[in-house]
Amino acid sequence: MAGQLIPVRVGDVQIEVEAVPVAGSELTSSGKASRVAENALEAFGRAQDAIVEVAKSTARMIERAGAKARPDRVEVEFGIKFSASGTVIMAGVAGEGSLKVTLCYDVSARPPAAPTLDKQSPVEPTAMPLCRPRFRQRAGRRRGISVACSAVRTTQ
Amino acid sequence: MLVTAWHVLEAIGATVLGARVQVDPLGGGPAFPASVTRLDQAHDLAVLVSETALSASADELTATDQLASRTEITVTGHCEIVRAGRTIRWLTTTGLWAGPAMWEDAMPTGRMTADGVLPGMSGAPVIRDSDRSVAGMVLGRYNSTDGWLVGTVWVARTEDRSCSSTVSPAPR
Repeated sequence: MAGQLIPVRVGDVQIEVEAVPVAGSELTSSGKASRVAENALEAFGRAQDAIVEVAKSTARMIERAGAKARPDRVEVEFGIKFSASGTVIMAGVAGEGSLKVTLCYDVSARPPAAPTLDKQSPVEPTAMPLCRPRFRQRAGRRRGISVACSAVRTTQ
Repeated sequence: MLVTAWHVLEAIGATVLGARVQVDPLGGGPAFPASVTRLDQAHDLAVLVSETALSASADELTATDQLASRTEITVTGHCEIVRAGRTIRWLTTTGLWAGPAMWEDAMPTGRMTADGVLPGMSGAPVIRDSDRSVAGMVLGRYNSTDGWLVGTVWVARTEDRSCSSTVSPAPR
């Protein structure tokens, strides 16, 4: 089902916002077009809040990981769409999952691991430059924003 | 006497008994005044009265709950087509009666399937094709994104037209 293009003025710029269809009941009274434009404009503000909240949540997650598991770089990638009712929807990017998180480790820059006591199986330095563990972020509602997180994928 | 949906009046800030509204006839011609005499938010119904009559009106009502499944029905109503370049004043769509439905607050409603019910059609009469009687009134539709319930239209029952639970409604 194709989205609906809604003309919205943001500051001094006139843009068109694609409102994606979402499942559910809808009253069929008149005046929808003007209300959709108002909803889209309000959704812009909430989308900015959503971006900030995702960044904060990611930062807290990194803190919880502790010093040993803390990655050297984190990339969070997600798309944002709007519904006609002004709901902010976290959407997939280029066919990927709703939220793509990449944890990057620069192994060569880390101190060597402590020597093992097991002489039969000594630890050899790994040659893998990057490790990208999988994890999931649970869907939830924050500050009235509907966050849809259908899947989380990481690149391998 | 004119019947429409409560939410139609809500959209224009007229959910107050005695509120004056303008009625725009589908067939064209000047709008005429009407006043709100009954409100039933629970059933999403409202009754207006006017000294001006529409060029045509329904003479016979059919009990919504008595409609047989797959009964052929027709809806004609005002509609909004966004960015079509030209505005369609009204259109007609056909459909089939699908049966009753009950909301979780025990509020009965009717359900039909049709592919042409658009924003602006709330309050449009649901006409049974066989005898042209009014079998209900359009309230809304279900937007399906997965194919289930596609084309579903929610219909107010004629059994509730008396607005027996008339209240001074609070905003939703």
